[in-house]
Amino acid sequence: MAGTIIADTLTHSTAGSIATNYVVKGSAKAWAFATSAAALTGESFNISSGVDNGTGDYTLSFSNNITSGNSVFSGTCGNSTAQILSVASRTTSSYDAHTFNSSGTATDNTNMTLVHGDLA
Amino acid sequence: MQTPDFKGTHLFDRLCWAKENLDGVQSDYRVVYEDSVDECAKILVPDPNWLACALQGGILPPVWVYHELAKDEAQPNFKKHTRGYLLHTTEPMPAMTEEQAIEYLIMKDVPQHVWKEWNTGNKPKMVICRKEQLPSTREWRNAWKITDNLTATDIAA
Repeated sequence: MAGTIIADTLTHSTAGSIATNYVVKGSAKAWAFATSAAALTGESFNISSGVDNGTGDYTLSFSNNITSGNSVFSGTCGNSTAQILSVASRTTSSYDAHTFNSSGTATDNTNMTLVHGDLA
Repeated sequence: MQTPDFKGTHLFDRLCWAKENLDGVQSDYRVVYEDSVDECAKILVPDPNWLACALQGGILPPVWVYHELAKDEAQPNFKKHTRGYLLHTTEPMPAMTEEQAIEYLIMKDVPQHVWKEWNTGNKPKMVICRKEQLPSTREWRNAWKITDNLTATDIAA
């Protein structure tokens, strides 16, 4: 097929080899940069929408579902110091990102999240 | 740009193509909804890359596919999806207008009990508006509600 390389292994001239399924399985399956109003800037992938649920509470939905809600979700807040992000309500179609200040109070913040796992 | 013939192509591969070839489209539409009387109004914002796919056509699966997967996930013994192939093998949707894309997105990402019964009860549970119609600051964000004075007739007008 034009434009397709089929390979099971990638080999570097000096650094060794790696099976291509490490690359496929290890790639992020979704990521999103969302403002404090859940507005998505286009710096995202495999995301269909963001929902502003209230102060520091955002839902992000996938375009291509993941296979299990027990995938790995991670993220961080932007701009301010001493901010905390947690991910909750993980399903195969969406997840919630919650942002807090250092006292644990829900606070609006830019949030950047990343999902690893298998695709449905 | 013409969308390649993606029938049978993994949805993730189609999204990769779109990310490389389509510019994101920012929508001015926002969907405000209340899915619980005890919670504040929620505001759905379309993703620009997703909207570009919807407007382009030939990329996104029909929305019923997501509903089927949601039914599977709602089963008590659900562990993993086994019907993910529906996302990839179902004939993709043709190009949509922005308004059609918003309707599709509502059916995909807003809880069904909201959009199926949006105009039952004392006031509408869901409103599509322009982002300029939202409050300009986030003061008292957790107290925002759809106004009691809004009727389904107002929305239709």
